[in-house]
Amino acid sequence: MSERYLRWAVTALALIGAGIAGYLTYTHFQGGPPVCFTNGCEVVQNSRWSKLFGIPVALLGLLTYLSIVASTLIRHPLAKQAGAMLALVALGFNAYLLYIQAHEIGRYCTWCVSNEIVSLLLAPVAIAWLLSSGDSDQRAAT
Amino acid sequence: MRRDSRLAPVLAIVGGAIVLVVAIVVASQISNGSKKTSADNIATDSIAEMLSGIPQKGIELGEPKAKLTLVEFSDPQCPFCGKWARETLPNLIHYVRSGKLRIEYRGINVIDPNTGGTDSDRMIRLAQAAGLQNKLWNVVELEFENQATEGSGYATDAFLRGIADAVGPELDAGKAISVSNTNAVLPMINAAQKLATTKVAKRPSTPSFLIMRTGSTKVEKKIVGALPLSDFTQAIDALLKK
Repeated sequence: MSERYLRWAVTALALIGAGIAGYLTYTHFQGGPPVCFTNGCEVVQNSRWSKLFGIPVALLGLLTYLSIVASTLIRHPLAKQAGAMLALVALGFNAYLLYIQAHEIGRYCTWCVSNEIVSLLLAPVAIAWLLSSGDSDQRAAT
Repeated sequence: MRRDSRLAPVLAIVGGAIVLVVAIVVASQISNGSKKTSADNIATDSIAEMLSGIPQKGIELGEPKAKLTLVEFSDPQCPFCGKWARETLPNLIHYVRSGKLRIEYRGINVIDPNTGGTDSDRMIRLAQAAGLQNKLWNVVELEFENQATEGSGYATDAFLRGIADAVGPELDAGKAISVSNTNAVLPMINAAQKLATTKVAKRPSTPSFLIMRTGSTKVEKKIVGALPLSDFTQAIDALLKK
């Protein structure tokens, strides 16, 4: 697959992730429960695991996904590498949050699991994008 | 050769990502950790976080001007009261946080007369004493979080001290314990019993709930038992729309 299509795929997945994280961030600050298809969203949202040193995890996720989107707009190998690394970090941290839902909280939040699926798809696509050669690599080479 | 030169930065990125994830997970564990106090083994779970920022005054939780008031009648030893406190209340707290609902805790002792013990009395007394310091809700939720078998005599001095200490520095634990053994807490306990027998039933069961418009004595909805969350949200939503 060409570098351009992979970049678009990374952008699209990161935007979906940003949308989910943005919605969770909005409901966090608004104080209301997220629309939920399980009975666990608000429990997870109000759990002590929803914050990291006082910062909502959803907000951290939003910033991470937006940074990945930004990395696809900057045509430079370093931006590509940073984007791929952030995608891997998102995957690792989301795996940890899934473990917390399963073993510490005992409930699942639909939006959080959706986000975990997005990160699971995003990481390999971001690595494939990193390995592909395209405009940004040529631009850096010239 | 070219393949190796491309894989090297990828491996570096994967390694860097792993290091970052481990650092974040360790930070998360430090930030949240197991919130059991080693001294008294009282589980605090996420109670402080659930209640943080919500005004408390005496038996009340939430904004005094909230449109609706939910009155909770419960016994600290009652298993279904504990289930409601642990599973349903966290899903209603957003109504309180957003200023739409205030909750009154009315502790009633229905289990001691059946078991011949004093656990419920001691725990209700401690909750009311904490209410004099506007920390009743922390104590009540900690009592439910650490609930044990009814009639087992688990509400020992050490247990009660552990509960009071687990609230944190906002509660003068020593003062709450000593006040709980005085008549200062009796007016609220008697008022709760009287309200339960007049508004719920002559022989009230726990948990029972009344939903009223704040400032009104008219009961808009009575819920007896730890019914599903939807019974509460539907009633609250309907009354908020009126």
